[in-house]
Amino acid sequence: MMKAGLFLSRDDGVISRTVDVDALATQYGHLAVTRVCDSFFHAPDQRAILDAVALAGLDAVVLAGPSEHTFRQGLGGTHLVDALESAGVNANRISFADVRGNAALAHRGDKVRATAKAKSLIDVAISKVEHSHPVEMLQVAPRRAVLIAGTAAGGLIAAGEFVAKGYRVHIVEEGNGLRAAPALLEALQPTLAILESSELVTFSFGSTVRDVAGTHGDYTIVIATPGGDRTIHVGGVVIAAGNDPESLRQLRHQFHFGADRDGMPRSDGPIPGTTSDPGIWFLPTAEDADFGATVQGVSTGVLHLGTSLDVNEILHPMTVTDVDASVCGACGTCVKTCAFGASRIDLASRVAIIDAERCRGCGNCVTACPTGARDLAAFPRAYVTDAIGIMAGGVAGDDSPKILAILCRNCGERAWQIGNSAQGRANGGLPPNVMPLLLECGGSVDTQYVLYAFAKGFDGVAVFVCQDEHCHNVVGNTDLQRRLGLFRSVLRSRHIDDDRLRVVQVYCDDAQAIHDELKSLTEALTAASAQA
Amino acid sequence: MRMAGKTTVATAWLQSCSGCHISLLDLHQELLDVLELIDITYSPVADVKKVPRATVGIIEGAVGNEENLELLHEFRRQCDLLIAFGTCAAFGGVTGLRNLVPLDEVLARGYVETESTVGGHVPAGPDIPRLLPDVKALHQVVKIDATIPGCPPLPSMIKATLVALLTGKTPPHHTHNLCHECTRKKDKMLVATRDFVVDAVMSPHELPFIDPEVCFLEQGVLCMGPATCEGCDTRCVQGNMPCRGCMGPPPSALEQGAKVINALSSILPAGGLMFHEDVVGTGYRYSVPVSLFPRLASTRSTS
Repeated sequence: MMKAGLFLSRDDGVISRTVDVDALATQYGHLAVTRVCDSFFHAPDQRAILDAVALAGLDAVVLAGPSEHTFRQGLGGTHLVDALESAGVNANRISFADVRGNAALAHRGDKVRATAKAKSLIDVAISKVEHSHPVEMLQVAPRRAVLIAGTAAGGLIAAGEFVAKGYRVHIVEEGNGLRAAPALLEALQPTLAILESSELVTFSFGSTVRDVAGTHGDYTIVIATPGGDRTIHVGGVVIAAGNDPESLRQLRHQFHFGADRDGMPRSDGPIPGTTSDPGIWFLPTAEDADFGATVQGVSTGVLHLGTSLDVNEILHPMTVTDVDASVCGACGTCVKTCAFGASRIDLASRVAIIDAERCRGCGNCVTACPTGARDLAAFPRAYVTDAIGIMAGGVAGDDSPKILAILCRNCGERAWQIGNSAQGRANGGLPPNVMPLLLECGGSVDTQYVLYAFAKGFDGVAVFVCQDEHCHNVVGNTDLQRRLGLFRSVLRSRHIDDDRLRVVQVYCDDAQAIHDELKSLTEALTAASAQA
Repeated sequence: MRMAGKTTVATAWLQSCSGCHISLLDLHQELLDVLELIDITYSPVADVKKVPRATVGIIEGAVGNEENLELLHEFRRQCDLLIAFGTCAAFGGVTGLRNLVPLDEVLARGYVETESTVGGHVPAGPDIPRLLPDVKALHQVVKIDATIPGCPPLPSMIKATLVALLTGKTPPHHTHNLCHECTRKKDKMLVATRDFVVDAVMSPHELPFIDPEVCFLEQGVLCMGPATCEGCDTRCVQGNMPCRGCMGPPPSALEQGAKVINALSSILPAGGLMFHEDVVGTGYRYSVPVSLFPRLASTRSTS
């Protein structure tokens, strides 16, 4: 039996000003531990949480306070999460209820509704730890080799650093010469001298990355060179293509790092250069004419990548569960759906197999699988339907239409968080009649979830995902559109207004797009209900 | 004729075509094996007025009118075990398609607007059971102990379930989709590329030849097999016709229609699916009453 604990944060008054935190705490007496603290980011509170977890032997922890995004973005938050994991709580048994943004700030001045909404957000977070499969780890012995993709000055400096550590370094450049800014070439001469004379270094000009498989610590990469394909094995990758949009686009297609509006790489964490994959880092795109500044821009990322590879083993989380052979009929749907070639059918056993080396955990195959033979460990189907049911009963108790906002874990959630921030609130914020549901990707929007939301009483469903070219999972939007295209035709064939379902691609900072869409959907639904 | 030691069985048909009972008779001489074990005390072919106590109740058809409802409750009271017999009983089946249309429109279409009807009116009176607003599968009304799906169920499936129940064994329980027991060859379906397996979706009659050994989807024929539970021994597929889904959704699906959309979106060109085939009739032919989708119809806009 799972022992779960709930910790509620007053967030130094920001939450407790609007949400009755202490009254909420009394409603969870059935959990092993329920405790209120002032902030999740203060050292004494963190110690108290960790002590409580150890004392009660908790294996699941729900943190009701600031958003998961806030935890990921700040070192104080990542420290608490890391400490909980070190204390033996599985990563998928830690969940977050964004009581601050979605209840306290969204319903400022309305304690009753804010507290009621906080309750459903907490119920959803508890459901998540109850339903999530514990994440399993793939053990990887890291290779002491790196790929430097591009020859911007930073890439060459990074290459020099890795050579100094004794790493094998593959430098791949699409063009026929160095990309480094001419102004920096002179200062780069000592580095270039080392790289050109070192046996550890291979330069490949006129070459591109054709295929990538594997995970942090052990990637198998196929390089298309003028002399034919070459396969290399590296532990990490440094993107150093400068600010060339076309090169970056091609590299993004292989390495799936985030991008901003201009197509430039976007940091996925507090440290500049972080991508969603801890083995892949990018260097600043704008190379300073100042050599010192360029060196400095390189060192942080290189330091992190280098340190992460200087270990005996790396644990890689498996986000898609094993295929359930008692259900899988080997139909091949997952094989046709996966954009990364991570699914295949084992003909001898007639069961689908997931290639952990290629799986990126996007969940597209989970959505496609007609038998439910696989599931996302962190967003299992049973959790999603349970969460939709809880939230349908917990939206603001006035006459405004109830809307479910499905957010992809990438841009959708980021833009939502900005809408919930102080700055976003100043620009109109997000309407209170909306319940947010985080999913992995647009590709994990199962049409059954949309139907379930309508059947449970939501009046409208709005899906917020990345722009096509920014989808980490390449085809998340494509498959979402294909599925919803058919789905809409089902609705229309029964004269059901398919305008109640909206899908919007947002940039990660575009809270305004979310705000506008929700406003427009609310108005349309209000008008439709007045007409009926 | 009642004999000691035999299990008493009562059967009935509700809103249905009687095809499931015909399938029971299709056991032919094997019916005699079954009759060794059972004594049928009530059935549509026996002139018995009241439902007697029985160990096993077998009900074909969905619950569509007040009389169906009354008889089903009577069976539940009188029988120890109740079996949902056939697709209508299990999922609502073809009779459940009327849930897609408001009841008054159904009656008007049936009794007034049909092209051959002159001066028609919707029949009503104390002797005529009124239709319920929605057709329901049996388990949506009473507790059901076992299900034999199929439109109609294969005689072999009927025998297997009955004999298992009567001899204290667990009846066959299926969890895979139809592809699991389908022996057609797959080629393009197993290639890990994102290309559709065909350029266009066709109806079986539009194709000059359908290879009986190759997966229907790979030949551009929409087959419900991936989103349909196994257990029918792929009888339609062996007759060179694609699966239409009468065995109902795989156990983990919330509903068959949405599930087939999720799956086929990356296999067949969506345009073909949308405009060529009747999507509602394809995904929901046998399972409307147990699906989520028709519940939306009541809230549809007036436009």
